Amino acid sequence: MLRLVANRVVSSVLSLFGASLFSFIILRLTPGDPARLFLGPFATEAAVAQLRGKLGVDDPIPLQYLAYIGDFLRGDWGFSYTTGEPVVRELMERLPATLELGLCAFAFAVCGAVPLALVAVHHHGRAADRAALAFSFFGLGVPTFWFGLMLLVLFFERLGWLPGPDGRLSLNVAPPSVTGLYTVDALLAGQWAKFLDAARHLILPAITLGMAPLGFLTRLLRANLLDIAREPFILVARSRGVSRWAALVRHALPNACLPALTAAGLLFGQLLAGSLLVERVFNWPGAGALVAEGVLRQDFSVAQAFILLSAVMYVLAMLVVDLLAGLIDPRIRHPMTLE
Amino acid sequence: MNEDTILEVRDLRAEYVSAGRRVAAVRGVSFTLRRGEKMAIVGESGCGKSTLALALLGLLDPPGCFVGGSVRLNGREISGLDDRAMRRIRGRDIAFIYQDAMAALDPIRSIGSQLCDNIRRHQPAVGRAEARRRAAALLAAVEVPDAERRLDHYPHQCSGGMRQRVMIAMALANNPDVLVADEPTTALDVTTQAQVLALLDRLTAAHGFGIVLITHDFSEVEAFCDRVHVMYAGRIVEHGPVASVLPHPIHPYTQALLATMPRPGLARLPAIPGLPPDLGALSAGCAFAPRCPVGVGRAICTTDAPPPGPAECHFASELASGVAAGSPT
Repeated sequence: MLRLVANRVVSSVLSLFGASLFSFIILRLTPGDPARLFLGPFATEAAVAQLRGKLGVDDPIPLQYLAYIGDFLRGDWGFSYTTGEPVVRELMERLPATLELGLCAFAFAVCGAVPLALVAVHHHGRAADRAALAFSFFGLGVPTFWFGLMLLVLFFERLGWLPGPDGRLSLNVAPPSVTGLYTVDALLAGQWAKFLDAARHLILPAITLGMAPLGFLTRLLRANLLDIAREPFILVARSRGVSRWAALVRHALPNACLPALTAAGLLFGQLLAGSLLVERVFNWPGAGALVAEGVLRQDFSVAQAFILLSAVMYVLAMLVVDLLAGLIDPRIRHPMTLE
Repeated sequence: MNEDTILEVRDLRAEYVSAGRRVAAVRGVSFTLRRGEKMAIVGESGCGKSTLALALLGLLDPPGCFVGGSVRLNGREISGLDDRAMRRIRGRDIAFIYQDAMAALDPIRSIGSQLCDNIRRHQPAVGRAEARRRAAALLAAVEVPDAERRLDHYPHQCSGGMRQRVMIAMALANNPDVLVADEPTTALDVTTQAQVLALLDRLTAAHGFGIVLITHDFSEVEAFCDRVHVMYAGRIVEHGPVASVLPHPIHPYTQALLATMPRPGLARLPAIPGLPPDLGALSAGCAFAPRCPVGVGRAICTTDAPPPGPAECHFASELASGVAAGSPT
């Protein structure tokens, strides 16, 4: 297992290197002189040259790459052209919100998909199976924007059970910041009311964001489970007195999860990258909206930092996936040592 | 009913729906198994023998499958019991060995945890440590070397023969009365086959359970079994003690099947002409009639079902006397 961990960590670092190289090249390939862009058409040649020297644009390419990586690691991600704020501060304000929503949406998708797929396979070909399939199609097909609004109309406007689209909290006083995730911070500070408020604000956006992943994972798990349920070891387990349901949950499910893990990891990375639509509908102060604005205003340093940051998220998600797979599957943990 | 009878099957029928048609895979099978007896069900692929095994264990699920007839285990009728009641019987009173040991174990759980699960399922009073001790003892009983250490191994770390031994250990975990072994040696190489059969032989002698061995291999039957039942198209067409059926087969199908066995001095193996019948569309008369050398041109074979008896053939007595005259095959 230790060897597996070391292996995966090394390959993750290599992936990150590739991603950073890619994002750097994209940056360098952008036509135009950044100094000229920054200073405008009426700046003197001398001023442009001075800025070029300051920006390091004339340095050899490998040196520029090293400087770029060094800046990124030190948290110096440049300044937003439009607001003049350091990009790192803008992103770090928004990122915990995105992270919290993404985590909840992912939890919703997984916690929904597993029982749905189990029930569908247990009642394969019958009404419950068809209902689960129909539900997953709905999840995959329903427009996020519209679905979020419908949830708001029903649970906020009509029933009044849940808060409306007013961000992460009703009264915008955040709990003492530790992780930046309001629910966690509130719990850490022992503020129950604040925790409940933050959690209630999370429910509708998390469901909206998690709906498509839920549909996708349900379909994937159902198909995997159906395959595994036909494997002889399920029949053999039943021949020892295990009930159909127990054979499905204890033997088929862990086996069926293995191929679904990779897909789940990709979905997780995608959810962490945030969603412009969901953030807009619920006024959620996440990174998705910030990046979208950055792109629209040609504020590339924001987009730039975000690209590399989401690469880090994806790589971390895939690292977790690989380690989980090793934990579940002994064939990965102890590769062939046939005696 | 004999004191020693542990399994009595009467007129067992099993049908399932395949591609919208009802397929009659088992059509009225009857046999009796005594304690310590090793019984064989022999037949070609597709004759219904695996379905028969699943029907005995009550593993043919409705909807999709229909099972009828009677299965009495230790005098208790178990056919038609609900799944809840069957779960207490499966793995405890009647155990199952699957043909492909490579695929019969959960690939992501250790051998020890699968064995312990099986012990504790039917003997809930047994604690974890005790279950592990018993699991190691079971592995030792099926002659797995270094049993204690093997418990922590996973199926992919074991050879095919080793896995089949683990399967046998698992089947024995709760001292069953009946062991249904569905081609337990087909996935193994020849040396391992002989070892596994010899092991089953010793275990039967030691524990006194009865074995229903499902196979297509007469040499296994000859080496291992007391009684043989030859199955064709879902029916037992001939049965009797191995010592009399194998040297003197009566039913034309048994004769043909025995003739396909490899023997020294035989340059080319004869094959039975034609294919086993489509179990979804059986006609009246004898199911073997289209392939039978004896029935050629005899009308009764295609119109009437053959009479019951040790050999289900319209001309059993004629063939038997032919056997008596010393002209088999």
